[in-house]
Amino acid sequence: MTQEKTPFPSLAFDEIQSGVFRPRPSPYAATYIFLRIDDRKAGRELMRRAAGVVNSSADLASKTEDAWVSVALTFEGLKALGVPQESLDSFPPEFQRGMAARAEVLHDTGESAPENWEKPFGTSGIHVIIAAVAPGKERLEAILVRGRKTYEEMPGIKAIWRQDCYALETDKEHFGYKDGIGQPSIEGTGIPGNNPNELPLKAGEFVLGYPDEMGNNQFPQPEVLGKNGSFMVVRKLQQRVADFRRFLKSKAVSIEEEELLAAKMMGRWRSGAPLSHCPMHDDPSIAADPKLRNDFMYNEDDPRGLKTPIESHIRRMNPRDADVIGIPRLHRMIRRGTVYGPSLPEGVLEDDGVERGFMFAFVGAHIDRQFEFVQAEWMNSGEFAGRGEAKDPIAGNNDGTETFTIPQRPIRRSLAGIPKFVVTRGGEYAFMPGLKALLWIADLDN
Amino acid sequence: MPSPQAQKGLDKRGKPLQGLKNGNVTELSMFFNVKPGHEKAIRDAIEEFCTNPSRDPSNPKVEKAFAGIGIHEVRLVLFDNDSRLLWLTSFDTDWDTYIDDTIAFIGVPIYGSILMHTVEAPEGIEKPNLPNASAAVKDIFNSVRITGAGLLVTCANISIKEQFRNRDIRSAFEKVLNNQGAEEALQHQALKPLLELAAD
Repeated sequence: MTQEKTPFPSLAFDEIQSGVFRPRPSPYAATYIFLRIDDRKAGRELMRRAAGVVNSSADLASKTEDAWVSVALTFEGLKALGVPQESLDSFPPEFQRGMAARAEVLHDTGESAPENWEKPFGTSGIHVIIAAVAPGKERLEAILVRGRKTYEEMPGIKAIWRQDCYALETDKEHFGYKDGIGQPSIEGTGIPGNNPNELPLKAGEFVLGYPDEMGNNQFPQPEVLGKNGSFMVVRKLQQRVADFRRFLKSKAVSIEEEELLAAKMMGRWRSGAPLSHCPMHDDPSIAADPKLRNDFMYNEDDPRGLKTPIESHIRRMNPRDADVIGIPRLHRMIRRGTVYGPSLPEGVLEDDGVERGFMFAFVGAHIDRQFEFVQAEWMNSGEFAGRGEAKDPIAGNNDGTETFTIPQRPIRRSLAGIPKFVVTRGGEYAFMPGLKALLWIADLDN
Repeated sequence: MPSPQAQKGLDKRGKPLQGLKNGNVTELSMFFNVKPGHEKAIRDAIEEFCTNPSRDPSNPKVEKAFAGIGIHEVRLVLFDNDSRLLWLTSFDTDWDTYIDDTIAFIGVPIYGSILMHTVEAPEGIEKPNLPNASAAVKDIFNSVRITGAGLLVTCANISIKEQFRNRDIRSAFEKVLNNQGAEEALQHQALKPLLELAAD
C-alpha cells in the first residue's frame, strides 16, 4: 500500500478526551465504574457535569495532568439519553449490537461465553463507563472524588459495578510479564511511538473525524456528536496464574528453561526485553532502554520466527512487517491494560480461589477493523501466518488440544496441549465522546 | 455511510454479508451493470487490470504479494452482450474480515478503473482524491454481492501460505534426493516416511 505524504490535519486536542492519547502511568492505580441511567434528564445532567470533569488532551506533556477521568457511553446508554434515532443508526453495527452479541466473532465461547459473564456484563444495564487512572492510590482517590460528584446524589443514576485496579509491586501483570511496552505513534500528536521503524499512523485510526489509514473519514452523526470521539472496548479477563505456572513447569527441566518457554510464548522475556534482540538469554538492560525495547522488525531479521516465534503473542498482536495475510497498519490498536486482584505468591502452583486478572481496554476509531479483527483473525487463528488453527498460546481461546510451535534449529519444538489461561469475565463496547459532544447530549430536549 | 442493506449486514438477496466457505476458502461473487456505451472501455480496463506487469502472477514478487493478501483468483466475466459484469474472487480466510486490507492492497484507483464503467459506482470513483473512496468501494461490493449457492475448491484446506511452504519443503527434499548420500541418510528410522516418498 503506498502512502502519499499529505499534511496531516490539526487535532482538536481540547475536545478529545485525555484517555485517548495519554499512556497509562507507571506505576498506576485505576478504577472503572459502570452507571445505569434510569432517568433521561438526570442522564443529561450527568453529561453536563462530566464535561466539566473529564480531562482533555490539551496538555499531554503536563505531569500534573497524568491523572485523569474518562467517560464513555454504550449504545444502550446513548438510547437512555434520548440521542435521536437517526444518530443512533449512524453508529457502526457492531457497536449497536454490543460485545455479548459478538461473542462468536470474538471466540468468547465455553467458559468465556456471555452466559457465564460477571453481571452486569452482557446485559443492557451498562450505560456509562467512568474510567479513572492515576500514578497512585492517593491521586486516584482525589480524582475519583471529582468523578463521583458527577453522579452521586442524583436520583435516576445508579452505580452498578466497580473494578479497582492496581499495579503489582513488580510492575508486571499476573503471568509475570512487563506490560504496556508497545504503543503506536500517531500523526499530529507529538507523541513519539517507541518503534522508530514504524511510520506514525493516521490520527483517524484512533479519533473519529480525521482521515484514517484507508483515506476514509466517516463518523457518527451529527458531526458535533461523532467528531473527536473514539470507541472504547473494555474486557475483564481472568488469568489462571497457577495453571500457567504448572504448564511451564511441565514442559521444562529447569527454571531457565521455564523462562525461555515463557519468553517464546510471549515474544518477550518477562523483563520486557524482546526476543528479537536477545533470543537466548534475558537482558533486562534492553527492557529498561526505551529506545531499544521496541525497536525491531521481523521480515528481514527473523522471517521464520527463529527468534520471535510466529505464533507468539506479540507477533500476533502486531505482526509489524512480517509476511502475513493483511496489512498490519490497518489493525493497530491503542491498548491500555490494568491489573486487578492480588498476586498469587511466588512459587504457588495451586489456585487460591482469589480473583485476579487484567482489565483490557482498547481505544480506536474502528471496533471491527481493529479490535475484532485482531481478536478473531490474529489471536484465535493461525491462518493469517500459514499456521492453520493455532491460537495465541497465552490469550487465545485454547481448549487443551492446541499446539504451540517454537521454530528452532535443528528441529522445531512443539508444546502440545495448550490450556485456556485467560477467561473472559465480561466486556462491552463504548463510545468516548469529545467534550463538545457531552454538552450536545446534555442540551438535548426531546 | 454504508448502504442500508450493508448496514444491516445483508447482501442483495437479504442473506448475511459473508461469502460461502469451503475449507479455508471463501468466495465473493458480485454482479454489476455496465454503463451503456462503456462495453469496450470496461473490457479494455479488465484486460489492463489482469495483464499489468505489477499483477503478473508468474513474477515471484507478485506471487508472494498476492499470497500475502490471500487471494486465490480473480475472475471477471462480461456477459449479456457485455452489459453485465460478474466479478468473482476467492480468498483464504473470510472475505469480509479482510476486505479493507484487499482494497488497500490493490488500491482504489485500480478498482476504480473498472468500477467507473459500472452503473453501481459513484461518479469519480477512479479519481485519486475522492473522499471516503475506499469506504465507497467496500460499500459498492457489499451492495452488489450475492452469496454463492455452492462452492467446491480443490485442496480447500491448504492455504496459499501453506502451499508456498509445501513448495519450499518439496524443493528442499528434491535437493536431498539429488545428493549422492541421500539413500544412506534416509535409512534412519525417523526418516522412513521420507524414504517412502523418495521413490518417484
